[in-house]
Amino acid sequence: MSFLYCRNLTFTQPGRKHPVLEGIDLSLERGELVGLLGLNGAGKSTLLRLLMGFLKPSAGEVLLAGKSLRACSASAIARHLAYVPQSHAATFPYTVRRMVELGRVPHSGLTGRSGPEDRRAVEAALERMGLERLAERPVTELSGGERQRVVLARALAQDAAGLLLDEPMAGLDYGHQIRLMALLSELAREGRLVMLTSHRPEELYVRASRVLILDHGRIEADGVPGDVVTAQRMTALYGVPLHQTDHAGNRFFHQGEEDE
Amino acid sequence: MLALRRICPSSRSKGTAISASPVLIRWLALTGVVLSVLCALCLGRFPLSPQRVLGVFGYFLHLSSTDDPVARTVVMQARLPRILAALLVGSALSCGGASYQAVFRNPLVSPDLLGVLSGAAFGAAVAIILGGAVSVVQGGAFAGGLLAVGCGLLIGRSLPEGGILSLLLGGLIGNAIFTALLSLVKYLADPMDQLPAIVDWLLGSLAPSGWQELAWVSGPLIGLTAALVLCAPVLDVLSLGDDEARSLGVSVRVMRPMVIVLATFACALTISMAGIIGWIGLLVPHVARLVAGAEHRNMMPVCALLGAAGLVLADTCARSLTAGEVPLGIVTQLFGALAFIIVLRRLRRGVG
Repeated sequence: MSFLYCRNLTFTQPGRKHPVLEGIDLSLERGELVGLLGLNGAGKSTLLRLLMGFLKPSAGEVLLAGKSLRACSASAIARHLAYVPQSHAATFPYTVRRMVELGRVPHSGLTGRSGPEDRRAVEAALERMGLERLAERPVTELSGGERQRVVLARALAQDAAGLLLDEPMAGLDYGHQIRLMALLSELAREGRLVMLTSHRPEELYVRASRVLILDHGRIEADGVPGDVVTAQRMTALYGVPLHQTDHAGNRFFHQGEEDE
Repeated sequence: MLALRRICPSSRSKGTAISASPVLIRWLALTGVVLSVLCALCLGRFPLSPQRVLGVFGYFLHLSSTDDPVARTVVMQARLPRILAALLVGSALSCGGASYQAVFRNPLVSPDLLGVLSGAAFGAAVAIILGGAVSVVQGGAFAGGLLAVGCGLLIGRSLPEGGILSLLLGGLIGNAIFTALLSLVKYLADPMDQLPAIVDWLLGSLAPSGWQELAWVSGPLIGLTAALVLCAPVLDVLSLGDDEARSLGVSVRVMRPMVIVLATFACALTISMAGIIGWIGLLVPHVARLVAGAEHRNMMPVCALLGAAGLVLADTCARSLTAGEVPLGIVTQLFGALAFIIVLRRLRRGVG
């Protein structure tokens, strides 16, 4: 039984003819770090939102730990799956700590007082994202990248077995991008399912255990990074002639002549 | 525990929140309420010294035997019911406004966003035209307010996309319809007596509040305000946005309408009791956020207390500034708008 499973998942925007996603079959296991590549508008975010249960599929269904997502309450889903949106618009100046504390809502309930376990999880999440010094600052005063780290910390505090992230690297500085990818592979090694959408095939080649390519609403490729993240596929996907160079476990893509 | 918490230099320097313990802030706000009530009991066209006011309460509580019939009448018949009404209306409007702002993720929203004011005004105007008694006008206002918001929500639901934008647009359309209907009623009203009565009612006043009105309205109003204050943690989550709220296990489909219904009922009740009192629902949540921080769990109780104190003071101004009575709606509108400039100057960073 897969941790997160979907069959024939299809989604059509109300009032539109063509489906955004069509006939997606996926079986995602704990311990995997899954990278999702695709053009802008390929349906990557839609797939994540369907897997989270935010959107109702037009056909097909999603099973979470063997149970249909439709039969799960919002809080039951939240105890299993955490979500990091593409961007977080901060309206009210909540402190960073409060934002991270909200990650405990699925466990402690809305009115429940936070116990020692909740406080530990919040502190650990703040530390893991390097936010201790910003803990008392209002989120509205933070930069986009810092805010992204706050939302990531909230997802960590949620302590869910699955973590779905929509372009988590966008807005992060170079150092935090590298640290984030290291953290995500650590989380996967701890036995969580980590799935992220990304526009960085080279990063996924190094860190991901599995890469999917979403094109025109269908899964075009699904496999280990070595098979999927290739110059041939990237050229076909992005429509730019690319060559690859492998070096010390990394794979680099570049335009122009092939090195070897 | 009243000790000052560690003062956070960064948030203090930016003026988003005064970092004192939430408990201390609540006590300070409560003290503000008590002082404003005392002030309101003393001031007016017939000024009373604090001793005479306290003497009246002493007599009622059998602490003293000296009766002061004049002070007793002024306090018990004229001022106290009106002050209690101001306390209830002020806290309900403030909490309603704060809830609307959180649910719509917009700090510049006030409770009339979905048309509760125009609907209530229409309902009251129709009742006045039909020559209804005070209670009928109040009932008409209440029903009209709910009807307008109901229409707005239904229109919003019928639009594609769904979500907050549809609700806003639905509210906008509902608001427009009921504003037009109100204008129609005004146009048809007898300009000699009905039209002035409508205009007078629209300006808002706590003057007609007596013990009788209080008796039936206080229970629901206290209940609704308390429910909104208890909803504070829900407001924190809902204000993050639909996807984020859902990812934290909160059913937006259930919680958002619930908060809207509670806030709308509270506002409709205040309107039926006191007419249209603007700006309290917009301004007070900002002040509360300024003193207690943005987190709704700390901010909502302070919001209720500050709203209560604020409206008591505004009503005291309304009935003692001039020889006659200035309608309360004008006072809150004028002072509210001026105070909002100060608040916004301090809050700019938080809002932007």
